Amino acid sequence: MQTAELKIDDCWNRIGIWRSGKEKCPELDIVIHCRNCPVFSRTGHKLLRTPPPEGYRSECTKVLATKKEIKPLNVKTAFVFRTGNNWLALPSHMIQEVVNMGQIHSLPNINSNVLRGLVNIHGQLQICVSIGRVLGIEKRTRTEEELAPDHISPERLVVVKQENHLVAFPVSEVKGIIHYTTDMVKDPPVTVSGSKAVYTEGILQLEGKDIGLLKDRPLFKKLTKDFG
Amino acid sequence: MLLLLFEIGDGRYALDTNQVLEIVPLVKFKKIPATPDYVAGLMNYRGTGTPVIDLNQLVDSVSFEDVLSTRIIIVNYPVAGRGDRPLALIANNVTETASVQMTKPPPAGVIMDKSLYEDEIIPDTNNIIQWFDPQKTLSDKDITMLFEADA
Repeated sequence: MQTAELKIDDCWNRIGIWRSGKEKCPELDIVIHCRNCPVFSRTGHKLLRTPPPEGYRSECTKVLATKKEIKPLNVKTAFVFRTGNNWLALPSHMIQEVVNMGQIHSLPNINSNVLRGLVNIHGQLQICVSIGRVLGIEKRTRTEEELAPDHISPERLVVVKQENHLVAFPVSEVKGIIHYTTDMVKDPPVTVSGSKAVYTEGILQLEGKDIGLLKDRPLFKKLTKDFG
Repeated sequence: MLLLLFEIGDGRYALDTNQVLEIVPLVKFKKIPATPDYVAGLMNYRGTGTPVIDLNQLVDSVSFEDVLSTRIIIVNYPVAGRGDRPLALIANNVTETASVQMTKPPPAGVIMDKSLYEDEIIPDTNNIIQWFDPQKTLSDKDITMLFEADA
C-alpha cells in the first residue's frame, strides 16, 4: 500500500479564521468563515483521496455484514427546575412560560398549605401554588451568598397548563428543557415514601444530578382540587 | 430533491437520493465467476449477498481506486419478479450532496453544476453533471442474472 505523504497548506490556521498571527487572508472578508471558502473544502476533499488505513476495509466488511439494529428511540422532553435542594422535572408540554419572580398576594381566609395566593402574570391574576409543600420538600435556609444584596436570585415563576387551568408556582432555579429516553428513567428508591413517592414517576440521572420526574396528572389534580 | 453527487472517471453524476439505501465504505467482496468485468463481486450487505458493480469498469474499463472517497452506494434496484433488491455501486468521490429545486429528472439528462450552487460561494461550477439512473445505465438482463445466481 502506498503511503504518499500529503502536502497540505493549512492556510486556515495560518491566515484564516484560526490564525494566531496578524496577517489575514483577503478572502476572509468575502467568505466570512473558512468553511465557506473553496480552498478549505477542496483541501478537505483531498484528504479523502488518500488510501484507507490498514485494516479499515476488513473492519468495514465486518460491520456491514451484521444487521443494523434500529432501536425505537423513545425520546421525551422534560422541564427541569429546582425547589429547595431537590431537582425536579415535569413533562415540557405543560409548561406555558417562565417569568421573573413577582409578588405573591396572599388570600385571606384560606386555609390551604398548598395555595400561596395570586400572582400577576401579564396583567392576569393566576393562582400560585407551592409545589414543594405538596411534595413535602422542606424549605432550604438561604446561604450567606444568597442573602447578599447584590445576589441575583435565580428564582422564577413557572406557569403550567393542565386541563385548561393555568397555575403558577415559584421555583428556586430553572435548568431548562432536557431530552431523555424512557430507558433512562430509574425507579424511585424505596426509601422515598409519602407524598413524594405518590407523585414521582422515576429518577433521571443527568449531569450528576438526581432529577425526580413528576407525574403531572396526579400532582395537578391535587394542586387544583380545592380551587378549580 | 436531494441529489447525491459522485464521479466516474472524468464525469460527474447525480443520483436521486430517494433511490439510495445507504452509502458505505469500500469493503471486501467475493469474485463471481463468469460475470462481466464491471461486476466486482458479491458483498455481504447486512446479511444479504449483494452484487457489487464497479462503475469505473462499466464506463471507463478501469478498476476503482482504493481511496477513502471511493465509496459504495447501495441503491434499491427493482429486479424483475423479485421486487426491490439492494445493489451495490462503486463510484469515485462520493462526498457531496446537493439540494435542488427540481422535482423530476432533467429532460436532457444533464444539469449544470452552476444550478446546484446558485446562492452559494463556490466558484468552479461550470461542469456538466449527468443524471444517473441505475436502470438505464445498467443492463437489466445482466443484473437480473446476478440476482438469480445469488438465489
